[in-house]
Amino acid sequence: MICDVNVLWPQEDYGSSVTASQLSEVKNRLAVLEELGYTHVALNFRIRQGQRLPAQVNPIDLSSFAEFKDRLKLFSRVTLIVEDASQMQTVAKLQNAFDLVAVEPRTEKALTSCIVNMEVDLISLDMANRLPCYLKHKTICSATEKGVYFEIKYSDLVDTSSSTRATAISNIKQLFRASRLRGLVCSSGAKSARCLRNYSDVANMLVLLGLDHNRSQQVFKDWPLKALLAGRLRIKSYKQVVAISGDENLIDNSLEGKNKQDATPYRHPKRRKEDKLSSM
Amino acid sequence: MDRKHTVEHLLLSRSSKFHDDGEISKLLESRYSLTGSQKNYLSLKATEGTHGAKHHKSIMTAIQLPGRQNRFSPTKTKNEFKSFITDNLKLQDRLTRQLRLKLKKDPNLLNNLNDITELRICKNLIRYEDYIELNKLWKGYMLEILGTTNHIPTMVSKLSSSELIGSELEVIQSRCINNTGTKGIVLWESQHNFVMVVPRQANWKNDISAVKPEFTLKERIGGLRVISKRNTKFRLQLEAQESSITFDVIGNRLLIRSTDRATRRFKNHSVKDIDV
Repeated sequence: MICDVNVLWPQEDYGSSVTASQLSEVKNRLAVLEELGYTHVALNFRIRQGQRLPAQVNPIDLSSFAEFKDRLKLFSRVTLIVEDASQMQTVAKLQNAFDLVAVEPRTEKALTSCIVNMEVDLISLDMANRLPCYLKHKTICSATEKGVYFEIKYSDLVDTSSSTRATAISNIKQLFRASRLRGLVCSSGAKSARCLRNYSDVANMLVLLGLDHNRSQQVFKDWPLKALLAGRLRIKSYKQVVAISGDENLIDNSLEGKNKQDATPYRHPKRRKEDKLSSM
Repeated sequence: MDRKHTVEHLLLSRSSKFHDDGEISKLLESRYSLTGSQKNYLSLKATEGTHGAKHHKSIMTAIQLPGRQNRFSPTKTKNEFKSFITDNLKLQDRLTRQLRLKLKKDPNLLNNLNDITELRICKNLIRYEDYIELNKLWKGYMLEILGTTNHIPTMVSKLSSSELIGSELEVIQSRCINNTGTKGIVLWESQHNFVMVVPRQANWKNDISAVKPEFTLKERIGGLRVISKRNTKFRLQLEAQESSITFDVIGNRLLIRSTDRATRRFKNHSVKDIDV
């Protein structure tokens, strides 16, 4: 199970809508990802802090990707760009609508308050620019201990100008040092299909930057799955104790429609059970 | 009343409310009389009871009992239940051994039997059928609790703080692979374990309809199973009027006693220990 938890959704904010050409472009990217061997893909919707949330919080309609039904497991993800650490109430509203919740802190205060106060699955630092602060072992490792994962986007390293690449490399090495190589997730973050890569190529590049071989595989396999599991359990379960089931496993979202809180799709009509009994 | 209330008398004489002694003694008289205005006063009279030392001693021992009682004392319910479980587990182990020996002598011993309890040595086995009534009770309780809600968070939160004794659980995933597929009625829930009653022969192997399943002796005997909650996922099926709904119970998060679970506020933790 190879994951890419960051495929950029074309919408920038709630005002705009997705055109048909944009949608086909996303499908194009998904097809390339499938060809490269990925199985779990999350579509990433980025919003800035301070936007007013409409009633329908989740603009990503997974039902429009029906042709990928048996080929890829699709999830929806939201990334909240946090600049002001004091106004973070919006996260609670987002938590129940998206499979994965990520934050992108832009200041040091935002980073620490994300780790201490908020329930998020991923923290995605902007690697293409200067980091907001010097990353300390203590803050980063306490986040890892809590079960929050840090995201590395390889699109910063591929198909960019050489100066951003240099910043990205130094930032990634900083993150490796601060996190002690634990709790990392690598994803594409690609805007176009051109800069998508096979995961083993990227893993090799991460080894070049200082990750060991085992963990270079884990950043694509185990760790993003754990992040997905945490996010899915928030919707499907009560505090990870009792989860509703009826589909494949704990991270599956194939039965859920637009309203993720509705249990109707999980109910099996009685008739089906009787058929099963008579066949036995 | 022939007592002289000297202390009260002295105290009341300090009060400016009373002017002479007569008033005070009159008040005290009515205060402590059986028929006076103040009645909440328990007067005890000596009865002709036995005042022997023997009687006295028995009262003392009754008071001291909990402290002196041995924790292995068979009169304690907890110990009785413990011994019930250990005895039955021992019996099951012994029976498997005995049956294995008997099968060596007579390989066709079990072939013609419908039910293993027909054998004389297996008479005292715990039978799954006796506990179906418990499961029925629990089902009624659960229907009452869940009502008609169709909202995932309320449903699962109610379920997480409800009683699981009497429910029918199935182990769907466990790091101990021997436990996988075990299905039975929960008899008791402790902090780390579920004690289940497992039906004879019926197991996950029934799902394989293509081949005739072979059962081990342990499966043919059934009876009690102690299943650890750690690293185990259970499945719970609930039937409402028109539809049924399944839940996954994650054992790692359930590692608390059921009495504490009812009032506990759960929290999200790192999912390192939960398998997908």
